[in-house]
Amino acid sequence: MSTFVAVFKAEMLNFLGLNVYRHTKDPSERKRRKILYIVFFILFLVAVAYLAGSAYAFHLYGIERVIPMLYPCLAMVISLFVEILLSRGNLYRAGDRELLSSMPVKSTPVAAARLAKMYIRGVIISAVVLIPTFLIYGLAVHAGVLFWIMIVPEILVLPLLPVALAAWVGIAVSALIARTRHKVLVEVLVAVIVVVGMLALSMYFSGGRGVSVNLTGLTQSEDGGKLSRKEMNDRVAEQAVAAIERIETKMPFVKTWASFFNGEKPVGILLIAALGLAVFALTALVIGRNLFVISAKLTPQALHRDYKLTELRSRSVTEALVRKEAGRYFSSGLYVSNTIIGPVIAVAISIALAFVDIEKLLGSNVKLPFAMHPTSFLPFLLAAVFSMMTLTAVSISAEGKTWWITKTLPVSVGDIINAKILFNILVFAPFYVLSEIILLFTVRTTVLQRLWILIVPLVYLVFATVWGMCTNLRFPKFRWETEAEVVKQSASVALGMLALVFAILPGVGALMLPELFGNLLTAATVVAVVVAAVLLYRRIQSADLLRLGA
Amino acid sequence: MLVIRDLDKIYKGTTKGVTGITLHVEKGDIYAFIGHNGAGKTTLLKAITGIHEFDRGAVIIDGLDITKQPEEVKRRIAYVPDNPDIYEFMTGIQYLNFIADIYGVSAAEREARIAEYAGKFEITDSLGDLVSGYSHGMKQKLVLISALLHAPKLLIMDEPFVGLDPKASFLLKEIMREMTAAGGAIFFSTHVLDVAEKLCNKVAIIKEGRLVTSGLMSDVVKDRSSLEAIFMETVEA
Repeated sequence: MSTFVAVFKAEMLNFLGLNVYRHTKDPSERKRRKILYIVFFILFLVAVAYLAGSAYAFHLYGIERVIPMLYPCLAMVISLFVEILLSRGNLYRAGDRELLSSMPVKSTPVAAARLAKMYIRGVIISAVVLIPTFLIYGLAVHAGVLFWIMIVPEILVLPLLPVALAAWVGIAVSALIARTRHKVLVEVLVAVIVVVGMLALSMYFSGGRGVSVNLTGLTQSEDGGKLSRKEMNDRVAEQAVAAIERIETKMPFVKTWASFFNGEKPVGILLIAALGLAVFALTALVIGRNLFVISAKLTPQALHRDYKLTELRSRSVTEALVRKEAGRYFSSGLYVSNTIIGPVIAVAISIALAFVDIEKLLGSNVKLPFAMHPTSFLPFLLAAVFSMMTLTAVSISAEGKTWWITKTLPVSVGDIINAKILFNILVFAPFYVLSEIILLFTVRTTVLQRLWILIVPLVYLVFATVWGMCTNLRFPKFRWETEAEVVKQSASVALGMLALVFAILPGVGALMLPELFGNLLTAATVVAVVVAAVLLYRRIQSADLLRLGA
Repeated sequence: MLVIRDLDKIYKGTTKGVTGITLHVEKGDIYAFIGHNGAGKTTLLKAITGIHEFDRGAVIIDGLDITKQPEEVKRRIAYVPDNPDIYEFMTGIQYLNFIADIYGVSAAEREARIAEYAGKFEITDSLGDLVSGYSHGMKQKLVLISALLHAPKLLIMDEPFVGLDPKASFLLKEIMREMTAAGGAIFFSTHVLDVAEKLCNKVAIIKEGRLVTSGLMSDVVKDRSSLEAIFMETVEA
């Protein structure tokens, strides 16, 4: 028990980097973290407002009974998704394996402590989802005392199963990776299969198997006349109630599930708790027994000692730097799988368009009350997926402890930055070319639209690469224990993803505007993005790399 | 070869760092830099190699100012850090090739030097393995070889003997003597005072960020029993 407590305390000590923030003497580090916490806080407020707003909308349409059915599921799905992403880095990180292995501790309490940390994160997610939404529900239905009392146990119980399940996914993936020599390749393939599989499933279920909603019918009467706002609201409520009733009839367990959380059958929470605890304990036991073994197998193996010095070749500085970037990139499955997903999705979308109409791909079977131009949106959709996460938003932070090498090399700032930008473009270029070639055959449209499909993703790809470089130069993070800290959780990555928003916003405009104005908006956006990319590129050429990590 | 003039480097938000450092390293010098833990040795070494900016003063290497011509200066020097943190994703030979490419070492020269130094340090057969599998000593040997690849005029090292086996330590001392005999210079920090006394012709002692003594080893030690005695007197004063 004392091992568990000690390791758990160590695990939690720097939760969200708070310990570093508290003790750092470096003002710039403190400032960076302060900005990160402000961003987190804003995101937290946005999430709470969104969740409360959506719950309130259910109440307005008279279907508040959907709240205790939907939001606990949402909390579990978010926890599951987050923990699947983080479980390998959390559970099997190699950094402190030797230290812990050298200590008189068993691996089971270490695994339990790491799982407990994941559980705490799940509790926070559950609290963020349930508190605002259940508050709306409780007030709306004038819930009894039991409902209010049960909120806390519900928050504590919900993350048990998702965390345990995520850990099992982590075990499965780790076991698979540990058994192969090509660890990075397998890790990337698993990530790509999961994401593309989820996309395919989503398309499968939206292809007429979901609940269809006729939005045109919400704005027009049967004789084609316009409805008043109240009449429109009534129709929305009618359709929503009908949809919920269909779900409840087709899937009766949904009603039972809701009764666990709305105060009708609180004993159900005990069932979920018992099941969750049992699976959680079993998980801790199984992982505990194999923790150090799996960690060891995931780290490099013994030396071969069979190298024979042969003829060597000299290369240019740029080629040497780009090859170095390539080596760094392809050595990390986490780095590759996180950044390659966007380009893979772009190719998947291009292929999907051979089988599904673009209207269906973007809007499923929802009939819209006004004309939209999905083909005008397509270039921006591709631009968004290419801009989702660039290598450059990570490439400086990824140097970590080896940053001293780059700083002592007799090369210019431009050489270093250009190599990182060039490598990013080299990685994404084959996907861009492939996607464009496929689109030539799968999308039939005008010459101008075809031009936009060609140009818009390309300019965004270049812009996002430069933008990612800027964010990493502004918020580098050289001190990290696991790659997940820089690849998934750093400020530069979060800000780098704004490029996706920059692509979606004009894309929505092009989608909704008449074709002529859509084309004008697209042209103006292309010009603006090119200008922004050039200005940012010129700015970073004189970046003060010495200042970074000093 | 190396002129440090009135150099200040204080870490932001602290009072730690080095102040008022003035020091000259001539061609042919093996210059030891000693001090207690946290005295500012690594800080000074990082400032003169261009890893850290400094607040005041000048660093002139081979007649060039590091703040004005950093790339030219870096071509003339090599740095060996206290911890051999190098690209673990590369094999040993990939790392050496990378460094050789950056410094523009020709294929023939790199082949000759890698063969020579890797042979001397006995890591040739491990050059095809990933650096992540290397022991601390092997990484240290690899860093030393990479530092020597472009035949630097000035070698700056931070605790270079840590992690080396006795044979490798002996070899490194031999290499240091050969390099300075050929007109190069070496400035390195160490806690191994016996080695410093026997190997170096000059020494500087730093205490709490300030240089307390520097000059010829024979002048510093004078009639005292050893460098160790001088060091203890100095840091406890």
